[in-house]
Amino acid sequence: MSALSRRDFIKLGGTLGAGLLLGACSACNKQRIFTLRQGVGSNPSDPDADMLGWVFIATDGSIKVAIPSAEMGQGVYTGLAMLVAEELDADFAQVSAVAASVNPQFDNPKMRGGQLTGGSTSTMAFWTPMREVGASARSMLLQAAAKQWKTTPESLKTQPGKVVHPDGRQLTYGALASAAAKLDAPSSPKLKSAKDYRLIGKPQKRLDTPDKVRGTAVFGMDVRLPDMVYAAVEHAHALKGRIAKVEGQAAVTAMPGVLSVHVFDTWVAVIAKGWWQAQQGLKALKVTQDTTGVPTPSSADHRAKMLQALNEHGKAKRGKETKYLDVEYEVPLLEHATMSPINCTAHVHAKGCDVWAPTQAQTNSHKAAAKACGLKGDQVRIHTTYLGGGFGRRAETDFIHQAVTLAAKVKLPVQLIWSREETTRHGFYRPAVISRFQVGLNEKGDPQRWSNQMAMPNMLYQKVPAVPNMVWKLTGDVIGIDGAKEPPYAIDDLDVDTLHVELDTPLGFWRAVGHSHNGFFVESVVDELAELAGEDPAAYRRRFYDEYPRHKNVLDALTTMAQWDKKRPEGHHLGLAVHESFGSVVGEVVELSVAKDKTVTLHRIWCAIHCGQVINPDAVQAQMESGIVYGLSAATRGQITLDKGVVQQSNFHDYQVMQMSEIPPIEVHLIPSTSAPTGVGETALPPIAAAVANAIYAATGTRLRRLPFAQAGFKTWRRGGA
Amino acid sequence: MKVEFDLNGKPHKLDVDAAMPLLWALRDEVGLTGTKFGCGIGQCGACTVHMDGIAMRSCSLPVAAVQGRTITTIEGISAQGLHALQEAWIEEDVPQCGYCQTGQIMAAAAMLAQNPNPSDETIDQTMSNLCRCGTYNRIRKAIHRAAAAMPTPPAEEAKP
Ligand code: FES
Ligand code: FES
Repeated sequence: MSALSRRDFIKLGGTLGAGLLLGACSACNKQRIFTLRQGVGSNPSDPDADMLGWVFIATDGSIKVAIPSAEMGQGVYTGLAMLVAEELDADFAQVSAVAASVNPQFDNPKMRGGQLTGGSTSTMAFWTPMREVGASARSMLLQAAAKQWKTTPESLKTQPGKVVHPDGRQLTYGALASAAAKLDAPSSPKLKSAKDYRLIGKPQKRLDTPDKVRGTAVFGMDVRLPDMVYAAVEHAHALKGRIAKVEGQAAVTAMPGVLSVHVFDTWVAVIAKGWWQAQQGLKALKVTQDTTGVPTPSSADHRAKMLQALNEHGKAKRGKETKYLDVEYEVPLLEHATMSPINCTAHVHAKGCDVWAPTQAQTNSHKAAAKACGLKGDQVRIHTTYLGGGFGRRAETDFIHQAVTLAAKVKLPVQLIWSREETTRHGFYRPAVISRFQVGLNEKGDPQRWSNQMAMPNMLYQKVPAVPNMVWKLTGDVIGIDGAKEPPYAIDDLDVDTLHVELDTPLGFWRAVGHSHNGFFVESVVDELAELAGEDPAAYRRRFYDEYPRHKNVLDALTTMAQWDKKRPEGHHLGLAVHESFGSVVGEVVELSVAKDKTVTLHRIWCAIHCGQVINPDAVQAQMESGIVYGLSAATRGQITLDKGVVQQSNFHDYQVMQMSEIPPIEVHLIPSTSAPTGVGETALPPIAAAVANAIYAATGTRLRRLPFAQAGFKTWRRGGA
Repeated sequence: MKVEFDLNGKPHKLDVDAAMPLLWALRDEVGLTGTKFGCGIGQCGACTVHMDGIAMRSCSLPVAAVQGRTITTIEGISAQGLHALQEAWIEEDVPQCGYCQTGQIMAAAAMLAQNPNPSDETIDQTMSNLCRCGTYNRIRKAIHRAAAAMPTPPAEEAKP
């Protein structure tokens, strides 16, 4: 039971041999599933063709499931393989997961952009197709067994990995695979009902763990090819800057191990026999920067522009509300800081272009690679490796284009690696936002009017350039507004808008995207309203949740777990937040205490999630822990600042993330449900900053409306005892 | 510069620039890719290896410094089968993206060699490796699990 390493998988395509291979099409409505009799996919003449089917049952009984989504830590290889195994009635110990090749049949039906992992959509997207593929395969194996035993499929049963005759005879799936491959796949197989699940909802060990603890899992940087060379790059320092000239190229080319220097408009690369030599070469070059005619904003300029946009828009007029809140919240730019720095390996050769990419965006990577080398279609092949962290950064294709550009020049396999400094300084940043709230309460304490203007760059100008800016101007930033648009707080008069502010900064999808800031804003504001209304923050929220049963479930679970109403030890305080994102509702309670010097001790965190049917409970729990820790890094200290267009942070010493000694016990509760699964990977992040801010308010009376909290002097964080 | 050292139980020779960090010698010259590059400045611990049984950040350790030393990487952490920590990591399903985990295991192994039964405080003080996926609580549990599973002091002991 393991996830195959990339190298094994590349071999696999040619060695599938006999067995049952089923293909499918995630986005098709009819005849979604088809039998592939060849043993390999659409390109059987190519011995290296990747497995183009979805599930392959070999004659030895081993089962390979092709996973369209990138495994970036969220456990998707295991979760999606479980769906197939459930309906196939497979022995999960015989199941392995492999990265699917790039092919339209693997497109994500929940996202535009072809094969793309993002928006916490993987489970939602493949919940039905993966189970159908498994059920089809099972039905074909039953038919094959019925033929052999001269009986009807209906009279037979399956047990994990085998078909069983009422008289006790058995045939393993492996023994039936070749015969089953001669049958036609049923187009709409019957799926199990939730009460019959054997795997779904029961914790399964992740398939990728053994390789990851042995050090044999192949991340992008671990690809090793014959004659491979390494590239180090430096970009123009300013985000929109250019390289004016590069001196010392001859001397650098003569350095030991260095092969060549390549100068482009906005970046320069050194290629060498090892990455360290390439990096040494890069440092020895004298690069002159050019920023003439390009915007070079500083963070203060960003801030001034956002405030100006709010001022120009003007404030909402106060009505007859008894109580009124008029506040501004703010978050900075953020970098993803994936644990693995940016990298990609490419080889442009006589037969085409191969790219080994730690990518969330296979289809777009294919496009970027094709553009960089001038080849197309099957000539360009993307091989997805393990990512080493994604969080949205690896949905971009800048590094793919760069690696292929270099590979086309040197005609050798090139492994491009950015230093951590380049990775930090040339990211696609979570937008900075200033969000103004003006909320009036009626005499019952209900929010009557809720006006929320968000000054922020409209990400869609950059992210969907095919649509004219005019359109985005009219719609506003429909992604940046996520999580702020319709707060579940029974508001009569709701007015939420984004005001586009050009920040002249590359922007990207950062874990939880719009929700990453709006969870903090809205759930902090609600805490302020509870106080205005003179009510307990949990009780105040609860009275609006009658129409939001999942919010209510989550809140009730949380207050029970945390014993919300119980007296805490001296100096301990609680903060709460509940937020819906990616179809799921997650709530968190933080217990903390604050010392006189503003050192914060986090004692405990409770988390409850409603995400419909849980596939792998342990994986959901892990993602809750993950989203909380990632969100805490942003809440406490994360910020990217600019000085004249240059990112000021560079590495983990000045773009710090949470450490082991700071993370308290996290207790997670999964609300039982059999409704269709909803998102998980990003959903724990949005509430955490608000839960902490609300607890700090309870502890100190200081309302933190601006991230990161370090700016207000809360610089030291530590883990308390349980 | 020529250096000779013991690598995962076997004598090894390298002829590279004396200033090349051990990390890059391991990855690009020797071909051992289990040791990872995360920051290059000793901040993250993804590149952790053992030198004479002590956890070292190989991105900040020039090759010249390993002459005559004993180096252990994740590939050589257990002579046979999996190390108790690797078993515990599997039991607790610790890794997410997995990128930091070999470094985490190497740091934890060196700690257990010094202190077979570390307290939470010792873990806090010793385990400064970063994990961007937030697997810290599972790492802690897995360390306690491995410590409990290792009846005798581990074979790899720190030299004085
Ligand atoms: S790569 Fe060595 S400590 Fe980060
Ligand atoms: S598991 Fe991803 S950085 Fe630790």
